[in-house]
Amino acid sequence: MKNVSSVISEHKTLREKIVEVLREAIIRQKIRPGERITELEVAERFGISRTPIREAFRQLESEGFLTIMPRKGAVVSSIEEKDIRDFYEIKGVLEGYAARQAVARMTEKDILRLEQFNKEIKLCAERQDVTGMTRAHNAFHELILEVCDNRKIKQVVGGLVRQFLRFRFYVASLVHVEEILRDHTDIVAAIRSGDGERAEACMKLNAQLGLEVLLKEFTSGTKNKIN
Amino acid sequence: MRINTLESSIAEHQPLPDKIANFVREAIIVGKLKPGEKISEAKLADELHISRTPIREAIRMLESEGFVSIIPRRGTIVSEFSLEDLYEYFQIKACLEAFAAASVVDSLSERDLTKLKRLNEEEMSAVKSGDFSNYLRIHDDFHQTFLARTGNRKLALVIQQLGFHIRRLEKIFNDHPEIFITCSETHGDLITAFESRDSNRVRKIVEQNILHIAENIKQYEDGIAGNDVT
Repeated sequence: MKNVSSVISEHKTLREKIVEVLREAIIRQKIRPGERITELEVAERFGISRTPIREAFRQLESEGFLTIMPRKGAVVSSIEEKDIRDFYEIKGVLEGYAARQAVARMTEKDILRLEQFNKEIKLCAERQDVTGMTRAHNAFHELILEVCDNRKIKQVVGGLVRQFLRFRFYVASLVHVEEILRDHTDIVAAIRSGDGERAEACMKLNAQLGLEVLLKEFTSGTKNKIN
Repeated sequence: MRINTLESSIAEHQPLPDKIANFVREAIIVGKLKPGEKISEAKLADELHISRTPIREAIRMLESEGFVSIIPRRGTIVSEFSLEDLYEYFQIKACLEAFAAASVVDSLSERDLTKLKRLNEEEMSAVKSGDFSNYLRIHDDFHQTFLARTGNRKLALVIQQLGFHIRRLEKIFNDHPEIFITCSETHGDLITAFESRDSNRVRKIVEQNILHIAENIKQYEDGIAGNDVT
């Protein structure tokens, strides 16, 4: 948490900056599950008032990173291996289904947008902009859910992703961008060739990638320090 | 809206927001709360003698499930639903439940299979005697029996939630008991496929059965329109 001010860009609000720093510290296990952080501690460290910190804590709670305890500050939430497996299993099934259904309905414009999101992922990765990368990553997956002939599937997957929002940040932060882009490029290629079954299989592989990264992080990361 | 059902369910061990959500959801499913009707947090809090915080959380749960819409400046209203919406829920349920059923093929015990057979016989006789509310309860038990074997509790929960939406059609189903007959027969085929541990066949049977019902309900559009559901 040292060279923070030099890393983050100028135009973000104080709350956003604090969120990013703390989120990254949790993902990199500089603050560990079960560890407590207080508003006061963060306020002193950054030399700022407690209000934006309180807001940042609340955002991190809604993303699943923190559990706020009244009067006690916040505790870094733990991640259960079971949750990781269950989440990616359902995600793979639903997104795979959506990709298969979406193939017939994808317009050239949609496909170009998917490719544009992939470019954005790459650009954000080069700038080490995890938030931007997560946003582009989400947009890629959401477009496929929107194009598929079932409007409710976005609601169902969305409800699930919201509960496990934290995983998205881990994936954006820890997976090599080349791997994400490889999967995404395969998905676009399958869609372009009109091959629904292949699109489904590629989408499931993409979910598998998230699963493996998080499991590795979970099983080794809790014992040994990363880096 | 009556509240005594909620008070009796409070005794069960469940977080308060979940109980409130169950209670309000049930009122929506059975049509006590109609599409477009306003749900007042303040009124609920007043009637149930509880604070607004758990109510707000329950409302948010129901919003993410798609049962209510929170509209700025207007408050919370019961979501409208169309046949198309329900058809889409059927499709998602078919996809997830077929996957879940196929994945439990090797974990079903002899006791599970015996239970499934008993429930199948019970649902058959409920259909014959025209006891539809009992039929639906047994039918649900049948599904829960094999879903309980999936190691993925979240998956079983999502499938159950999709089932809540489909229950809004109960009144229509009651006018078309042929659906119940088809379902019971299909459950018999499913048991056979479970016994032979044939996951591909299990997947196909479950998927096709749900999609078959979904296709069927398309014909009942008039019935749905007649029930003030648009």
